[in-house]
Formats: sequence, structure tokens, C-alpha cells
Amino acid sequence: MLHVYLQVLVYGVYVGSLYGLAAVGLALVFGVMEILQIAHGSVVMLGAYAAFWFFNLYGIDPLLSLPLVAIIFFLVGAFLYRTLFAPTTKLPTEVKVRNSMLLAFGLILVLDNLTTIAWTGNIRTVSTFYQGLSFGFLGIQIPCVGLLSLILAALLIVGLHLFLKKTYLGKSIRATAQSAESASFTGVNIGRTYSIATGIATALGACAGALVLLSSGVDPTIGMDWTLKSLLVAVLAGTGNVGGVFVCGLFFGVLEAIGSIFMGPYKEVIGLVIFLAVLIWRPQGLFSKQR
Amino acid sequence: MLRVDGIDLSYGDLQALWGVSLTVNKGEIVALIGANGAGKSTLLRAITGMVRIRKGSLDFNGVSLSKVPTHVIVEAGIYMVPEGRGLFPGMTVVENLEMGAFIRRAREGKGKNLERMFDMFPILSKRRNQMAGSLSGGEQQMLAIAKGLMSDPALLLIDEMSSGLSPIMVKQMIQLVKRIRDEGMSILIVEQNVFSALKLADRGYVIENGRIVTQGESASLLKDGHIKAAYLGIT
Repeated sequence: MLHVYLQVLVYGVYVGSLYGLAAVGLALVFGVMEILQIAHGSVVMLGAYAAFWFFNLYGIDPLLSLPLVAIIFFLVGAFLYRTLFAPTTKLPTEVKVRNSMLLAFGLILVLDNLTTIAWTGNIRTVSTFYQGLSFGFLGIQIPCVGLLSLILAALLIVGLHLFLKKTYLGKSIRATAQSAESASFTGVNIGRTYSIATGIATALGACAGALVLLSSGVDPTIGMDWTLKSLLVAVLAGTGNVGGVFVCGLFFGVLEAIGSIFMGPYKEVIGLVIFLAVLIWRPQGLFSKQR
Repeated sequence: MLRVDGIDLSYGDLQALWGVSLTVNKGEIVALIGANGAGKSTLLRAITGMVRIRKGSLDFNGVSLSKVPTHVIVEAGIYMVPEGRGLFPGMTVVENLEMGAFIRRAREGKGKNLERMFDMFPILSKRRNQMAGSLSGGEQQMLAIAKGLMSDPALLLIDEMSSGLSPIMVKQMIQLVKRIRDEGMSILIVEQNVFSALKLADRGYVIENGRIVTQGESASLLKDGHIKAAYLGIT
């Protein structure tokens, strides 16, 4: 029986790393500009499609096309900011959150339906040599894709963390998140910083999508699920702490996996109950420093 | 160096500035004084491009500022220490200072300037890895000014420098501003503490209801009957 639990734990960590990676993008956009980008799940979905088409048309492995997907979606994100979200940034916080969420909701409808029209509702998968591989360790099976996803997600998160801590651009993003006005008084171009932050968040979401493609394939309806998971994890962690969001993603993945043993199809309930509990007792998030 | 010429500014239907003119010359300390809501901060926000003027001109070393965004104005050499100090509370003292040197022109001298700031403000050196939000009011004001000096500005705007500071801190700040001026910088201070502002400044402007009503040498303003009565409480 212990083996079953360990096996479930492995699965949970793997899925959780993807939750964490997806949620970091959402948390970044919300943390920096208080825009609730609920179309983030659709970005994950489109990232998976991008990786799929690179594989299908040009035979590029999804792990190798990851940088290409990241660059494309960085530009997509910057474009979305400039065209869609920029007008909301001047609004007072409360109105901004509401209006940006409505805009993003419209974006979900457009993106998901366009995807269905363009590429049908069929599930798309890729098959690579390493997808079937797994190796035994203390009697449990660790799938190769799972391990790769975990490592890549962790690397991206560490990379983002270092970028925000060490580089001038990263510091200016953090400064802008704390006070856009003070940042502009130090010479930061706020519009440009917002574009870059949205671009990075979108690229991270798309990378999560490419990894999702490897494990479970993609169809046009997966977006909403990823939005919900990202939102749950981001709220759980609170914004302003990249590592915290990732840890919460892992935690959430493990919890859901263990829940699936006891509650079967009702495992989603666990996440939502925790979500409510956090909102009641620690509304600023588990890892948030400020109130 | 800075020439503000006949500017009008409105927030919607509400006109906040009426034909305001003001100059700051090189190496000069100028005080802008007036009551709450007289338009002092609005004028600073206009100079830094945070709000757009409707009429008149803003000109810095011969370059027009009236249509350029804030970050370009900072690059041109005007740095503003806003009311509330404009720090990043969740970043360390060092990170705040580094953000002060964000503009391209200042990055090269960042290391040297950082040393200079720690020389000038030993307390900041001691607190260098502490979050800016955890500093005392006086330390925060020092950090705010040090952060501004990191950008190598030609003109420093300081909004409500003495607000929330103890009398001893205010004295220290005054010494500091004089020292900065002696290094060749120009300073425009906005103050409610009229007496200490005029003591410090070379010249002063008095703003009331969005209009400049009096201007001149600080010494003569201190003797001005209207100022004595309205701001210093001397009759």
C-alpha cells in the first residue's frame, strides 16, 4: 500500500510542477499590474498547440521547440498587453481588476472558439521516444516525461527568480509592482515594463502548455481547467513570491493526487475547500509577505 | 536652467494652476511655499510629466518638457523625491539605491555613487540589506534623497522634505541640502514649514490658489508683511 502512496506522490509532484509553472504567469501579471488575466489557461492551451504544430509540421521535439514557443508567446503577451490591457492600467484598482477580468473573459471565448474552428475539437498528441520511458526507483515507477517536466519547470522558475532579483530589468519590474509612480520617478518606462512582464508571464504559460502536451495532449477545452488551477494556486500562494507560487503548485498537485485515492472523481473538491479556507484565514496568501 | 513659463493646468473642469511662472538657476536652492491645496505638488507633477499642462511652456536647459513622458524627464536630469518619499518598501536599501541609478546615464557610475552614498549616509550602509519599509522616518528620507542622488541629477525636486521628521532630522536634512547644492546641483524644495524653507533657500515663490502671488530673495520674503502674517504667524 505504501508503494501506491509513493507512486501517487510522484504523480502529484509532477502535475504540481506544471500547476506551479502555469500559476507563476498569472501571479506575475496580477502582482505587477493588478490585471486578472483569466485567459492564462487559454495561453497554456495555445502553447500546447504551438508545440504540437512544431512537432507535426517540422518534426521538432516539444522540448527543443520550447525556446521558440517561449519567444513567440513573449511577443503575443506583449501584444495582448498593448492592445487589450493597457487601457485598464490607469483605472483605480478595484475597477481595474474587474474590467481586466471581463476583457480576459472575452479573450477566452475568442481564443477557445477560434482554436476549435481552426484545428477542430479533436485531442492532439505527440509521440516521442521518451514518453513511454520510465525507471524504477525503490519499487516505484518514475516516468521520464514527469521528471523532465519537473526539472524544466524548476529551472524556469529559478531563472525567473534570478531575473527578478539580479537584473536591472527584473528589479524594475519588482519596483513597478510596488509603486508604478515611484518607479517612473526613477526613470522606469512603465508601459514598456508592463509589456515585458506580460510577455514573460505569457511565455511561461505557453511553456507549461508545451509540457502538458507531452503528458496528456491538448484539445481546445483544456484552457478553463488550467485557468482555474492557476488561479487557485496563485491565490493560495499570494503574489510577490515566485518560489512560493511554485511550492504551492507542487503542494496542490500532491494534495489532488492523494485526494484522488480517497475521493475519486471528487478530488477537485479538496482544492476548492483549501482555497476557501485560505481566503477565510489568510486572505493575503500563504507566502505573501505584505498584507 | 529650469524655466516654467505661464502654465495652466486642470484636473477635469477644475483648474489647479493659473499662469504659473518660475525659474531655477544652476546651483540655486529655490523654495516653493504655500498652504495645503495651493498647487505646490501639482506644479511638481507638471514639471515631472506626471500631469499634462494645458497652456504655457516647461523648459529644461533649452529642451521642452511639456510633451515628454516622466522617464525621459528623469533621463534629462530632473529627479523628484515625492511626498511620501517614493521608496520601494519591499526592496532592500541597496536595491532602492540601485533603482535610483536605473537610467542609462547613471548606470556606469553606479558603483562609485553607491560608495559615495554610504560615505555620506553611514546609517544606510549599516542598514544596506534591510527592507526600506523597515527604516525609521528619518532614515527613509535620507534613503529617498540618496536614491535621487544616485541618478546624478542636475535638478532635485523635494516635495515636503520635513514632513514627519523630528526637529533634529529636519536640521540634518537642511545641512544635507546645502551640501548637495555646494556640489553644484540645483534644488527646488516644496515646504509647508515656511520659515525653515526660506532660511535654507536663496529665493522663494509663494503660491496661493494656483497662482504665484509673491516671489523674491528669501531674506526679503522673510520680512514681507503678508508672508509674516499668513505663514509665520507674526504680526
